[in-house]
Amino acid sequence: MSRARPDPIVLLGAALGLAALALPWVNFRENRLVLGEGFPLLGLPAGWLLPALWLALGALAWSSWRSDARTAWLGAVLFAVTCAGVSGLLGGAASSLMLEATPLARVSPAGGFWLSVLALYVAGFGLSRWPGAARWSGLLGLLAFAAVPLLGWWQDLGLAQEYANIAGTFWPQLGLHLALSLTALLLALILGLPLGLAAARHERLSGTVLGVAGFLQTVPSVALFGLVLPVFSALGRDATLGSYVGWAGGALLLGTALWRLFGQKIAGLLGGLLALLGVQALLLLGGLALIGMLEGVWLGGRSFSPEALSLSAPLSAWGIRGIGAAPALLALTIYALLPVVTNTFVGLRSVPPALTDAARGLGMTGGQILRRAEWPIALPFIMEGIRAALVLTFGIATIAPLIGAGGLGFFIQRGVEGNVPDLVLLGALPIVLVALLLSGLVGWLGQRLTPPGLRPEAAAQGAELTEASPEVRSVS
Amino acid sequence: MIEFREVTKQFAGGPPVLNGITLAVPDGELVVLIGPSGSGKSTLMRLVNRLIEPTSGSVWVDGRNVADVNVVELRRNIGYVIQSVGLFPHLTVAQNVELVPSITGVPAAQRRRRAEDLLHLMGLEPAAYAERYPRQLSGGQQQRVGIARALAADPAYLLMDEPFSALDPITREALQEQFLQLKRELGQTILFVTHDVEEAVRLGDHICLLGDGVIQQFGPPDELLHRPANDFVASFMGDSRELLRLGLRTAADYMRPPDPAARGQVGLDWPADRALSALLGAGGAAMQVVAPSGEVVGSLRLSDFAGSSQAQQPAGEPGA
Ligand SMILES: Nc1ncnc2c1ncn2[C@@H]1O[C@H](COP(=O)(O)OP(=O)(O)O)[C@@H](O)[C@H]1O
Ligand SMILES: [Mg+2]
Repeated sequence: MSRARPDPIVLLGAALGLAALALPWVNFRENRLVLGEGFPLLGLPAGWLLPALWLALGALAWSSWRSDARTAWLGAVLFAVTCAGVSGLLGGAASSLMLEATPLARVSPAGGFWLSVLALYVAGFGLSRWPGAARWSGLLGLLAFAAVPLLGWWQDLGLAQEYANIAGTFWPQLGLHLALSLTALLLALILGLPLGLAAARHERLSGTVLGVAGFLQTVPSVALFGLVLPVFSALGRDATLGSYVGWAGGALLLGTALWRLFGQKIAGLLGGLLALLGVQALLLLGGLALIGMLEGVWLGGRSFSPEALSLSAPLSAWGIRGIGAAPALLALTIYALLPVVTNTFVGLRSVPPALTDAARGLGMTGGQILRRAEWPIALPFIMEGIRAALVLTFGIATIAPLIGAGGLGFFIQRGVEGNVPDLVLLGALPIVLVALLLSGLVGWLGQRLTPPGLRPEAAAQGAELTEASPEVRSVS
Repeated sequence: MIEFREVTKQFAGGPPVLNGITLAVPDGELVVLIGPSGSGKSTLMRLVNRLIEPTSGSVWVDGRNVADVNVVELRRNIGYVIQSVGLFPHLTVAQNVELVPSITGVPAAQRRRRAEDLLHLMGLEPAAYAERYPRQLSGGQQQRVGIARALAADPAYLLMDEPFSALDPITREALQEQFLQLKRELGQTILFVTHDVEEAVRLGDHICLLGDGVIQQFGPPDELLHRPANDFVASFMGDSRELLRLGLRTAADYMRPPDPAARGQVGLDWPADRALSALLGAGGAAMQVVAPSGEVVGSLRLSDFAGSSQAQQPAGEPGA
């Protein structure tokens, strides 16, 4: 048991939380159009509660750092209450201000609230390093914070009023946003994993593959939309389903044949690339059909018609048009490609050459080495690439509504056009939250998929074992 | 038997690394390939399991040209051990040893038993080591696992490329000792690469010294030490080669009839270099040679070693 020492991180959080009280807590506006007026928390009912909570948390952090499980418990509970307090006092402030206002008035969170959220983040990070139950402080705090809006106590906040206005379309747009980025990720994986493998296998290819993927990453997204727009526009007008499927399928068959014939030679690799692009084209069409269907079901409007299945149907019936989901999907796929390719490449290159040499010498085939050694060793790297690609596509999908595709960016765009900050928030906050959630989820999955022998604790444990067991010292 | 017939190897854009090598590794023998760095030792060895294909000439294993044998089948019958071991870091020690049997479909219980036997044979108690991961082992322990893995499919042949070179001297000597014993028990035909003359003399039934793409000399260790074929061999084997020779013999090879004036004792089965060291320590006086039973069987004095330049058969060497 260590001697009690102040925890600087939690103290910093508490100090930030107290400093936040000097800033306006919420912003009040008579209607959407006028400029607002800031209200500090301490002038509002029950406002004193928050400084009291911060002081209590600060006192706890000052007196005992990681000293015993009971203080840690107390810290976690106090933290959760503070989280609920910040969230609840926001709703409470809105309710009290709206009592005497017209329904047109709007209450939005202001600087003091945002700084308090930052303070919670800092304090939660510090507390999660305390022993025992405190490790779950972050999760506990998040739940306490979210419980308030879920119980309807933010109803008088501008955010909630805007949500009520668009309630019918919020979840569909979130769904479309997810569908768009996940489909793009899938396409990027199907193209990127083999490209990464080819780059790792062939020294001469690696420069080209990584270079092209890196270059594509640097093209500004709006410019990329602009570039693919006329292509899809022409495709949608002039091509039919029959010709598109014919070309894509032909590329797939020809590419596969070349790959079979020439294997690892240049012609074979080009064939492999051709086949992959054929698959991509077909999957792009399938993804667009899916997104179009979801859009029709969730948001009404034109749904997918049976005529689109006729071979002479124009591609525009499948959603391939200059604007809409098609160019967005392609652009997102291109952006997701780099993290997937580079991480696959780096992961495979992290396999020791001696391992491959020994395995080949013992009679393992290339496929067996790939499945039993290279894949499991590279997997944690690949998962990291998937995480980066997912956060990237989910973020960039925000601007997809600019070119007529769906997604949460729709609310941001409408909010900016109509000068409605609450509507902008309604689009932006879920994007941040879901991106963090996805990142955490894939990161956790990546840890689970890391073979035990490669986890950092295996090495530490090994040091202990070597230290402890006498026979180790006697043999070597 | 492993045979090289007129083997030449030239990598693209370079001079020939191997130039008309003809060499045979008889069944049950350990032949050491030795030579300066870059002399093509590894290249010659990797021709056997077809990790490299010859430019011309042929390699024969068990009377079959390896070019005509299915490469996977060929390699499964030839154990392969390399300096950097190349264990699978994400698999446990037991899983590493069971690697090839698990691919060829040996039942789990059977291959597990075999892995435990091999680990035991290599001095790693399965109870303590089977479930560890490679990075939890010392270098010497890793190489023991590497050798166990190579033996798992019970191959008739072993290729070993500098297996002990990365280890500290004490570990290396322990492993060499254990390996010599293992070799006697298992009877594999072994091609062994090293650049360490002492190791070659210690382990080899025959030594093949490579240099400038050709075999400079092939013969029993004693012959390379005592009758180097040319200056290259003499200088490679080193200035202390007559001392190294002593390691091949025992006190019994040098002793004369018992001498009542002798003081101190050396063992009959001591390596000759150890006996010489004892004599030097005793100030040059004669010493008694004692059999393991305790009976005095002879005596030894410094001048006896001067006679060693006469051709004497090293103890325990098969017809050299
Ligand atoms: N795959 C290869 N490609 C080109 N040159 C090679 C290759 N492998 C070995 N060499 C060359 O062949 C020579 C002998 O190498 P090697 O057999 O590894 O020597 P040793 O094992 O005796 O140190 C060296 O000059 C090396 O550069
Ligand atoms: Mg070598």
